[in-house]
Amino acid sequence: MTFSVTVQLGQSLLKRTSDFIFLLLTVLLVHWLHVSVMVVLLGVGAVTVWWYRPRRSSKEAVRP
Amino acid sequence: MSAFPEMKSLTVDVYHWLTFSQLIHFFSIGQLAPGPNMMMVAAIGEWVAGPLGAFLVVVAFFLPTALITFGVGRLWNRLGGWPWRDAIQRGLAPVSIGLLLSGSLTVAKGAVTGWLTAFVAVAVFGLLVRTRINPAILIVGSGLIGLFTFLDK
Repeated sequence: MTFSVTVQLGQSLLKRTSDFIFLLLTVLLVHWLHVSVMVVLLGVGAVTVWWYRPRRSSKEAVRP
Repeated sequence: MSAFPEMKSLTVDVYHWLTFSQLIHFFSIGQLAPGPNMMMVAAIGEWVAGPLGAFLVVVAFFLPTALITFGVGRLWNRLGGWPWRDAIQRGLAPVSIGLLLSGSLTVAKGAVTGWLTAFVAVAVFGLLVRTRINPAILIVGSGLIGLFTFLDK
């Protein structure tokens, strides 16, 4: 049941290859290496937010 | 659900309050009961330290999260034009889904113990993805399959 919710959410939210890499990294750390959820959330979360950070080129592309 | 792997680690492996199968049973009942599915923590608290334990664990589990969600929700609406807002939203999506998947894998590790449970898990997954069936029916149905299998042995 929880897996179906995960799959349905993933279908709508995960689009790029990098999304799947970060997802696998999270699963690896939490499920296999038993790293604390809080540490993973803050650590991997910081990396992913930086990865998708606002870039000058994308800002300029939006401007008319 | 994202907290499930850590919950398993603390309640089963570190403090030995429960066995893994007991935790899975609490989780299943929590899925069936109305309200947030993680209300199962109340049952764990009750098991460990009685009604006071149940009360404390519910407060500890839900109050900080509710306050943070409330605060962030209000702040989030005000940050409509902030360029980092999209980055945070985009960046945290794979992490949160990864945490959910880790929780699902942890549950599966304890719940899928043979061919029958694997079949039930795959069937429930297929039905939930392809139809709009009420999950409670699937939980009760799976429970009945488990009951008859148990009675048969």
